[in-house]
Amino acid sequence: MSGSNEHSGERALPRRPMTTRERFDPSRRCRDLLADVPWDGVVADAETMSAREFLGTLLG
Amino acid sequence: MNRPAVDFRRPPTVDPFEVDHLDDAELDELPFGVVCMDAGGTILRYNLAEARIARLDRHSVIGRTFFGEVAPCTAVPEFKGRFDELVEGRTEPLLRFDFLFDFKFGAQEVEIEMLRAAGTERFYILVHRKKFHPAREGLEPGFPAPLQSELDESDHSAKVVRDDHQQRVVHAPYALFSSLLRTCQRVAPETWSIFCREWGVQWGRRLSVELETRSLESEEMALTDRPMQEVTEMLTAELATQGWGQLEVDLSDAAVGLFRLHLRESTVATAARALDGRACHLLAGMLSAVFTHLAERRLHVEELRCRAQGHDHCELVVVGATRREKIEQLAKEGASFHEVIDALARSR
Repeated sequence: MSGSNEHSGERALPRRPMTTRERFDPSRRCRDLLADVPWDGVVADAETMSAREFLGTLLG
Repeated sequence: MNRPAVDFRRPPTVDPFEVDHLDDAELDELPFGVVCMDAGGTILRYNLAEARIARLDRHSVIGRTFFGEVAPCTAVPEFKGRFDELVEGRTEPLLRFDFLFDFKFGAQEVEIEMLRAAGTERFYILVHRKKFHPAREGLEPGFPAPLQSELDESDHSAKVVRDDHQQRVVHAPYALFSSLLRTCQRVAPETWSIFCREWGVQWGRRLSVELETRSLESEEMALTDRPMQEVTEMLTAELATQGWGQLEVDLSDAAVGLFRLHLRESTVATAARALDGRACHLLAGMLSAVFTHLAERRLHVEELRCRAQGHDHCELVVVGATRREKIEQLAKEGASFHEVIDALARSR
């Protein structure tokens, strides 16, 4: 369910990036978890990076 | 550099008209069934996934008639009628339709792609399983597909050994690997690691098909759509059942781009104690293929520590293929897991 409510005019807050623990939680879908592993060594860590660094790493 | 030619190409989707260009090994990597027939319905090719899911040995199937002997439930207008029209050129070159396959061990809802390979007299049926059901009751005895034991009665007299899925198996003591190693050391010692890794990769691709098939049969879901924990549990259970040892997948360093694997009581390492070196290249190759399949990108598994070297258990690491040379060098130098993490971080 989305948190937005179009009728009341409220806007959904952007979702916060997942923490490292959340990204590599074994209960996550296999495809999603494996896609988030920085196999080539480029690490995006929401816990230790600033939002700018984190997004920059993710988006290249 | 002398490196084995390991090709991990495995398209997530396949153009149906491309299957005729795939060799038998490539057909065996596909997670769906493929049957190739001539215009008369005689089976020419039959891939691993179809053999596994239909519980038939392809060597018993090739050369037989699909509609008459192997899948009599398809000898109906909805299936064979379409095939005949395709052969006679009275339809589009590619037909897609849903069908229900009846086996004596169960019924399967499938989506069929049926086509003529361009410019040939070869006809392909691609079988995508959608749902599995118990066997339907009240069918004519000759309507469902025969069991392997019915299709090839020589199985019984020749005492052929098969598993629950009618795959032919060999039960042999693990000393088989000791004798293989001794032979390799005598004949071509430098090829042991390359040979075993390549063998493992080939076998790992088939293991991936096996795991996908089990996932489809039990959950009707592809492996990659299931939770990671369930997938690793399936993998470790399968390896343990086959007797390779007890695998543990440690994701705690995933954030720095690698997985750590612990393999306890490795059969190969135990058999290769005389080697005095890392021995589990076969397992490393198998796991490379399985993780490559799961991640849908090339990954590499390298053994860092081996029980054959006197360590308590074998330790392996999964990395991206771009780090392969680096990790191979580190392993050769005897680097520990934490030294590997530090070295990879420095080379980032």
